Formats: sequence, C-alpha cells, structure tokens
Amino acid sequence: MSYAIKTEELSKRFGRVQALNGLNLKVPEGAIYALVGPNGAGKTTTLKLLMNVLRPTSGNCEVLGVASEKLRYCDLAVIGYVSENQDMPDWMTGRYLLSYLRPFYPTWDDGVAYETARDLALPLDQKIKTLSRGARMKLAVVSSLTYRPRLIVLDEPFAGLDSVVRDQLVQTLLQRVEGATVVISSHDLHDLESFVSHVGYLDRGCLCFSEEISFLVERFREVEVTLGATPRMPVDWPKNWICRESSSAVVRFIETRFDSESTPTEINRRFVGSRNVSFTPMSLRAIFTAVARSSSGTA
Amino acid sequence: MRHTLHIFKKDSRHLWKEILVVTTMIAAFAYLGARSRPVLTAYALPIDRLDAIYRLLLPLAWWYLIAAVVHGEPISGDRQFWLTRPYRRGSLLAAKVLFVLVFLNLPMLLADCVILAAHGFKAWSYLPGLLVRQLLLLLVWFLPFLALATVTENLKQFLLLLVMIPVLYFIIAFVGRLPVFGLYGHGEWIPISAMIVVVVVGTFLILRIQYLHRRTTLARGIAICALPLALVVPSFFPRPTAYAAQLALTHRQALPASVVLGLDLSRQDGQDRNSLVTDGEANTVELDFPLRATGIPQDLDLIADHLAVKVRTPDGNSLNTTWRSLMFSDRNGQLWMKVHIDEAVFQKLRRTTVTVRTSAYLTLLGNSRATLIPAGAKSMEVPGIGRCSFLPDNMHEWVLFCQAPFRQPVDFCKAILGESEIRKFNEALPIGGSYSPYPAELEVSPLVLTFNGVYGISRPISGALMLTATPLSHFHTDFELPDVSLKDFVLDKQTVDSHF
Repeated sequence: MSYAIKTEELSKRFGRVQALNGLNLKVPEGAIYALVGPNGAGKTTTLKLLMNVLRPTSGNCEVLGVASEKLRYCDLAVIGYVSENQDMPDWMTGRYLLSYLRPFYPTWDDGVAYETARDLALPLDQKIKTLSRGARMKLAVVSSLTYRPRLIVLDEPFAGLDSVVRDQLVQTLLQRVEGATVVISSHDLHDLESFVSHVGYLDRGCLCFSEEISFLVERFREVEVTLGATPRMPVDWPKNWICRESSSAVVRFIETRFDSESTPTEINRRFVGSRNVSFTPMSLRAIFTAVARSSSGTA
Repeated sequence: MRHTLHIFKKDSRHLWKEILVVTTMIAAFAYLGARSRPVLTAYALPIDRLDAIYRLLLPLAWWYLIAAVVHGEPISGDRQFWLTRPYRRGSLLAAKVLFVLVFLNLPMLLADCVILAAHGFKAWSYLPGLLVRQLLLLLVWFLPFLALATVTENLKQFLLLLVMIPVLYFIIAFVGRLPVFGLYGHGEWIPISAMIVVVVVGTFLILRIQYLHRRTTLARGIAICALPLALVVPSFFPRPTAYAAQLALTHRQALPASVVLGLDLSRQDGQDRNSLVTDGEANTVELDFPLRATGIPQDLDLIADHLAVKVRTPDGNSLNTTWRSLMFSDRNGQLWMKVHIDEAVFQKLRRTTVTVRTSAYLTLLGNSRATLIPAGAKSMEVPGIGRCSFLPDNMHEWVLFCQAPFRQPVDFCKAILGESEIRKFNEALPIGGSYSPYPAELEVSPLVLTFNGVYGISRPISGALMLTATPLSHFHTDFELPDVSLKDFVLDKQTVDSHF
C-alpha cells in the first residue's frame, strides 16, 4: 500500500512543552483521513510539520513521497492546505486572491474556481478582512481545490462555523476531491464521521489509534456482564477493557479489541459464574468519548 | 522571473500608498538638497536646517517601506498563508530586491541627478560614483534592513529593532569606552570597508537562511552577532592595521626612502612654540616635539596619517601614549609632533630622560595648486576639491564651503585668507584627502562637504585662496627621539610648571 503521508517517530517540543511524542502516522493514498483529538492534542502541530511550516525536533515525515523538509514549490503545487488559524492577505479581495494565486499553479482551473465560489455563494469582490469567518474559510477552500491537488490538508476547517456553512464546505469538498487524499483535523468527530474513511486519535502528542473506520467500529464493543449470586471480580483487568463501571450485579466496560470468538471466552474465564454477557456495537462518537475518558484518566 | 514579476506587481499594488509617500519624500529630499546650503551657521535659512533634519528622517522612510514589503510575505512565524503555497523562495527574494531597486534605488538615482545638477555638477561625468553610490545604498542602507525585517514578524517588532540599534551602539560605546568615528582620518575607508564587509556578509547569510531555509532563530543569532560587530568595527579596527593595509594597497615609491625624521635640536629650547591646542583627554599632558624632516624633495609636504608613540624609560619599560598623537606644520612651516601622555606617567618621568619611539605612517603631498575664490562666488570649480562658494552669512561673517559629488576628494585642501582680515581662522591642518579608491561614500546625500569654514571678517576682502595638494606616496617609518626630558616639551610650560 502506498501512503500519501508517513511519519516516523515524529516529535516536536516547544520549550518545555512536548507537543508531539514519537508520532507514527500513515495515511493511505486516496483516504479521507480524520485526525481527531481534544484541543492541545497536537493536531495542528502535526499538520504544520507535514507542511514544513514547523521543523520537527526529531523524527521524519514524508508527504507524497517527499521529506517534508524538502518540499519544494513544485510539490506544494499539488498540495492544498487550509487552516483556521492561517493569516490571509486581508487587503486582497477574493477575486484578486484567486487571480494572484493562479500563476503559481500549473493545473489551476479558473472555471472550477469561479464555479465553486458561486456554489458556495462566496462574495468575491469583498476584501478578505471584511469577510465573515465562514466566508474566509470558503475562500481558503476554494483557493485550495481549484488546482486539483493530490493531497488536501485541512486543519480544523469547521471550527466556529454554523452547520449550514459546514455542510456546504463538506459537500464542495466531496465533489472536488475525487481521487485525492484528504487529511482533516478536528476536535469534534461529529463534524467528520459522515464522510471520512480513516481516523486517527491523537492525545497529548501521542497517536492512540489510526485505522479504517469500519475496522474501528468492528473492534469496539460495549460489554455488559450480569454477575451471578456470588460475584467474583477479576484480580487483573486486561488493558483493552476500558471505562470500567460496576454495581453489585452488573459490570460494564468497553472492549477495544473485540473478537467474536476470543472475547466471550476471555470474559467467561475472568467472570466465573456470570449469568449473562451482552455485546453492543458502538457509534463513532461513543468510541471517541470512551477513548477520551480513558486516556484522560477519568475512566 | 515570471513569479518574481508577479509578486513584485502584487507588492506594488498593495503598497501603493506607502510607495507614494516615500517617493514624495525622496522628491522633497531632492528639492531640499538642490536648494539648501550644507553649512549650518547661526544664520542658516530654515530650508538648510530642514535639509539637515530631513537627511536623518529619509532613511526611516526607506526602512519603513522595506519592512512593509518584506512583511507582505513574512518569513518569521507559522501562520502565513504563503508558506504552504508554491512560492519559489528565490523568486520571492528577487521580488523584494526588485521592489527596493525600483522604488528606492531608482528614485534616489533621479534625486541624486537633480541635486548634482542644481549644484553645477553634470551627473553623467560622475557615472561610476552614481552607480557605486546606488550599490552602496543597496548593500548598506537597504538590504541589511530587508534582512532585519525577515527576522521580525511585524512592523512593530521591526521598529523596536530599529530603536535598539542606536541604543545598542551607545551601550557598546559606553561600556567599551569607544572613541567616535573619524579616528582614521584619510584612511577611514579601510575600517568602513571592514564594516561594509561585516554588514554584507551578515545580510547575505540572513537572507539566505531566511529565504531558503526559513530558520529564524539562527538568522536572529546572526543578526545579534553581526549588528554589534558592524557597529564597533569602525572604532575597534586597529589603526596600524588600517594604515598597513593602506600601504599594501598603494604602490611604494623609491622616493620616501630618503626621508629621515628626528628631533630638531635647534628648537629644543621651547621657543617659537606653536599655538595649536587640541582637546586632550582628561588627566593627560600635551607634549610638542619639534621635528626635523630631511630628504623630502622640494615642493613636497609631509603629513602623518598615524603615529604610534611609545616612551621607553631608563629601566627598559615601554609606555604607550594615547591614540591622539599627530604631526603638523605650524605657520612658519616648522614640523611638530604632538603627543598626549597620561598625567601620572608624566609625573613619574618628568625628572628623567627617556627615549620616544614613533612608528609613523606618512604621506607625501605634492602637485600643490592655489585657486582664488572671489568673495561672493556662488559656485566655482576648484580642481580636486569640487565646487566652492564664498558668501557672506551676516554683516561680519563669511562662509567658505566646497562640495563634491559622492566622496571626499583625494586632494587635501587648506584655505588662506589675508592675515589682517582674519579674526577666527585657526586652521593649521589641511583637511579633506580621502585615500579611498571607491568613487562613492556611505552618505545619505549625494553631495559631500569637502571644505567648510566660517570666518569673521571686519573689512572687505577680495577672496580666499584655496591651496590643494595631492597625496603622492604613502610610507611607513620608525624613528627615535633619544634622551629627551619630557617636561621640556610640555605645551604650556609655565602653566604646567605651576600646576606641578
């Protein structure tokens, strides 16, 4: 499998703060990859390292087969980057920004640019500094899709946007990115779960998991064990059982490596005399909440 | 090139208001430079004063525009939109340099031509000077500030850095007790060249690091090292090294080998003492040694560019004197060496005989010429010096000044007015005379004041005689004044004796 993005032991330290710690991330080509995690998890830092905006403290990262530190203008001509915290040239109008960027991209398509802008109802003749947050983000997206990039990196593109604008952007994105790899970061999975193919969870600079969504949903189960008359709790709990809760008769936890054969056997071995065991599939949101609770130590 | 022009066009469009302001300021600079008189006396016109102030303000306008264009695509920081766009870094830098060339160098070139023409100089006659001046403006006045702008994130940071530069200089000067610029006299161009080298190398490194690798911390480190170094080089550059370099760069003639210097025993009694008093440092004693120079061909004059004087005591110790030693001829043509010695050392040695050892870098002047500048002359050409004016400033004061394009002239000059007509003329040393091989200097104005004198004259005079001479040969010699008693050479014997 070829990867659009590959990092090896990627670390970044800002003074005393370890923003990223040995990140090993692989994003397959053609994937729509969601990089999620709480605020301060290191998502923006990761994306900036990938784009060579920041320099890593240690480790390596590759984008489209090129080491990030060696990305040249010709490599950037096939990468789109949109970030909520990027400074735009405020004095330009949207129209001027598009015409200014055109000569930098050999594959720029004015037709796509203005059609997308029209679809998004983007006021192109207004100066960027007068645009709303949503309109600025639309403009950033338009200016990054118009040259049919092979890779699109979006850093918190929906932060602070209302649901109408968000849906417009998602729709535009899905229409225009055929065949391209998309990496999109967010602290809220709800923004992304409807259209992403892969997901990675970053917490405090570490990647907790990174896989296809179908696999992820398959391996997480909410487990409920109804105990027998003389309940005996296991002495040691496997690490893959997280978010444990128990009452006198029932134990609940989340199995993060569910297997239809081995998991029931393991439960029966540890909960001797249990009366009933149920396995409930989880939504993505529930999975992330559980992982977040688990990694923050509240579960 | 296509990208360079594209970015340049964008910057021109974005900064048209700033460009307009700076272009207007350069036009005003040209107007003031064309209309004003460079000598500021008590009776100077407002336009003359404005021109002097304006020369200080204009660089601020240049630097503001430079910072604005650099911050169009800031290098420092991680939020700039252009970082993730396919900019060719070389094209980006080239666009910024092109902007400086078009909106600063070109208007300055035109302003120079206007100022020169207004003062009677034909610009095309000074083409090398015109071009080298533009190069110096670019390398020293513009690009270093472009480099500094790349290590700042915004205009506020850049302005703070600009304020820090003079503060840094004064701190270094105060802590290091630096002497001021002008130490090197005619060889000033050597330490200035060293400074230019530091500035250019620092600028090149910062621009390369920032535009090719975007390593702001490293670039800031280089700026932090290069800035103080550039500021102190002109003051700390060893004077003997400067003159040794000067000597190495000029061809030696066989002529000076015959020149021998020694104490003029016939004037050792202290009579016929000259009247030149210099500003000595605190706690120093000023000594005047009468010298005799033999072997100097007729019609040639000897001047000292640098003297390193040491006093050797009977017990074999060698003591340095201050850097202010100089050699000059008095009105009678007698040669003197003036040395400042620490007062405590003088006290210790005043009753003993010592040997004064001098290492001298000397220059022979020849091809003397005299040109009469009539009183009331507005602009008269004096060969080798430039164009001179001799005009009344008020009822009793006359101003004699000369200007030349781009640099101090090679020739030395000295003005002589009739003795009976002089009240405040104490000019004993020839002035001017730069050994610089460059056709231009690092001035804001294209015109350099090559001579400047204000004279109180009580009755009508016909004019001033401008004497000029050309440096023909530089050479180095060591000589000794053996067995001298320092107290015999104190400038004002009576005062010093009563003091001690």
